[in-house]
Amino acid sequence: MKTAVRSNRAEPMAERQPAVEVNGDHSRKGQRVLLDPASFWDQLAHAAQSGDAQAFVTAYQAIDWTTRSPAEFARAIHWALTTGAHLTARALATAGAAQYPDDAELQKAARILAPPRLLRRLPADPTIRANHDWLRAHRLDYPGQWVALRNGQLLASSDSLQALTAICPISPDILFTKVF
Amino acid sequence: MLLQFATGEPFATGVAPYVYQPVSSRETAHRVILNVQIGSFPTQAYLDTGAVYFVCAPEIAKVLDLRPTDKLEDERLVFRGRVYQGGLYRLPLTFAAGYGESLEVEVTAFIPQLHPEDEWPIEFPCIAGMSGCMERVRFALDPLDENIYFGHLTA
Repeated sequence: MKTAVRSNRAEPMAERQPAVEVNGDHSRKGQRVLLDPASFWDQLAHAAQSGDAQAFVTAYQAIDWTTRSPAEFARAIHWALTTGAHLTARALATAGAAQYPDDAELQKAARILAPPRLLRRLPADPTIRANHDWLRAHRLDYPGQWVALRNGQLLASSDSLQALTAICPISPDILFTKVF
Repeated sequence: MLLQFATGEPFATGVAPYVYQPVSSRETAHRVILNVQIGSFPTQAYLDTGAVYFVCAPEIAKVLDLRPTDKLEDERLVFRGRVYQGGLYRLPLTFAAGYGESLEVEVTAFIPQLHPEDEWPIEFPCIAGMSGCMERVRFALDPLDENIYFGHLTA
């Protein structure tokens, strides 16, 4: 593991970061051995490259994000998504957007990755059951087909959704689905 | 009838019948299939609590009016052991109730962008994953009557 004795270069970061002891090595001529904060970024990049989500989250937690630039946040969000660390991507986007309120890319990432949000409540659709009855009764008649259903009645079927919507324009009372 | 806590507070504000059927010509396993509406496009999604986001088939993306300004570009999603390139969007998604209230929720959706040599492995229109989609929806299944009870956590 890459280690560094505390140096002037690492000092500002090290003061803001908790000391990390490496393999129980507390002293080298009386000095505490610390991981170079830059190495956390290297670890983050390496974890992203190797697709190791757990290592990515560990490195993410060790980094002092208050000192990172908008570009570094954006890169880390991309890496997190690539690695499959989706909640870390959200945490990074939220923190980055709060830290850089004028950065459009981070604001967009925070908006897109935010937890789901209730928009409104709508009336129930009483035709759902009729359409399901049709799907149960006819699933073997239209295998792999797109179908358009209205209130339990088949309007049209097709191999492709685009062809089907050309015949039956999209409407809130028509269910478009595929049958298996 | 909707579900309630002992305090009388509603657990669910809507109930919908679901279909329990295979979602592919290659699989025999049955899935819980829900009626949803993406914007104004009514379709179906199967519930997959091990998946992330709301995942749309490329065919669906072609008929939706998606705004490129609401897209995180060039993202990759590991799906069934393979990496797929695509975009992350914020979309309005309605969970349709047959009784009670339907819920319109803003979710994160992944829409694959396939290269000519790629094949999207999912034959079904959509997948409702947990993180980014179902994570704020309280739900319970009644397998006997094939009903899903649901309510939003802010209910």
